[in-house]
Amino acid sequence: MNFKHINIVKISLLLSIGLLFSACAQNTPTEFNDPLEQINRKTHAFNKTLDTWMLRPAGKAYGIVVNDFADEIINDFTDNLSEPSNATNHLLQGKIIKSLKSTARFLVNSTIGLGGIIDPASRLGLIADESDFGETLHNWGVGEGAYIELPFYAASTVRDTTGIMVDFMMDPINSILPSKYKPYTQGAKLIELAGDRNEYGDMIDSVLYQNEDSYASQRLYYLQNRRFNLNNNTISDEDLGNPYDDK
Amino acid sequence: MINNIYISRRSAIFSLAGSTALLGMPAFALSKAEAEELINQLSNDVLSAINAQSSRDELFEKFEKIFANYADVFLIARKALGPTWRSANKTQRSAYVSAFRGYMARYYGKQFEEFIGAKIIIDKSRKTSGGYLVDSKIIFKDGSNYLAQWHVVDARGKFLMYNLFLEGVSVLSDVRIQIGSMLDKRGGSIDELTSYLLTKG
Repeated sequence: MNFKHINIVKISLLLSIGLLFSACAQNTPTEFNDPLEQINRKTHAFNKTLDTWMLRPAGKAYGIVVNDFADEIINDFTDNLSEPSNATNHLLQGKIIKSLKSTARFLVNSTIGLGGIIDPASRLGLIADESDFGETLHNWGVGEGAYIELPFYAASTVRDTTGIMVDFMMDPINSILPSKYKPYTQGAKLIELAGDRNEYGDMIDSVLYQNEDSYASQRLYYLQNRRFNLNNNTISDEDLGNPYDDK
Repeated sequence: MINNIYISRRSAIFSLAGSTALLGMPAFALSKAEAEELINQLSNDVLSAINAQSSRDELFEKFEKIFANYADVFLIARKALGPTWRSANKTQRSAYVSAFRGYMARYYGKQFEEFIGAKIIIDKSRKTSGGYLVDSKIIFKDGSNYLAQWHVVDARGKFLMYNLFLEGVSVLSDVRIQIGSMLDKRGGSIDELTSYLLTKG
């Protein structure tokens, strides 16, 4: 792993985060913090069109073409590519054992697992434990900031968008893997996207197409589920709500 | 003399506190068990309803009965409507609530339909303001599972379900979004909302 690389990113991040979040810090939302709602709704309409005409059909095609066996290979392969990033983020959060587990998973699956197309690490008791830089920021005490719906990417927040960018830039896989393999790994990730759309097809369909206000529902699902996961599966008092207030 | 009064008063307060603690303790323990039992019965009824091979209309009818037994539908309906509740008159309110009963049965019914063949296991619960949050695990046939947490409230001396959280997401908040959007599309008219709710789902 390239730690020098990480340190530079970390320092520049700490500087930029201070600027980014100082504006959002005092904003404790009663419902959701969404000052960009008007723009977000336009992006949502765009993403929905994109889904209708591209991602949804791609997911359907994936379901027809790819059998369960191949689906698992693609899943395992792309999951393995994300392990160095998981290990780095666990480490940045001070979770040494989790970081070592992700590293061990990567080493085992890249070798015995034939470059990651199978997952013998899980059978050895090394269960996948994903992380991302958004979670790292949360652990560093950074609040979620405003809600953002990203074009091509769907629901996020200022903090999680920062996380996505940092994960993209500092992904250790880039320094581990020779660049000539990059088209293959990127291609696998694109195919996996269609695979995910297929796997969660009914759920995504019901959110996007059988909803009175798909934008507001998607925002609810993303924010509450993300908070829940980041807080060790605990519902905050704010999300629990008060049954007896008059709102 | 004054000291004596203080002492006796203090001991009186202590003994009072002691007795309420004694009275309170078993009631507290019982309540927790009651909250979990409510969810146990509710989830059993839900599972047997979806696993019985009945038509959709029959299923939704069953759900309406289940919610009438186990859920505080009145409070849920009021919360789902939001601030508009306050401006509505008595007739409008009761028409809305009765339309909401059917809508809620259909709305939750569709969520529950995915639980066919699943098991629900009550895990633990914790006290919240005015009630309990009962954690349960929904285990699907394929072995995957997710966390369903039931918010149970003390409704006039009786425990009733108020909200359900699926992997942290509040189903009541989602219903509120749906109702709010329907209301907006009808210019905020509760009467139009009520007649739409009767057909919706």
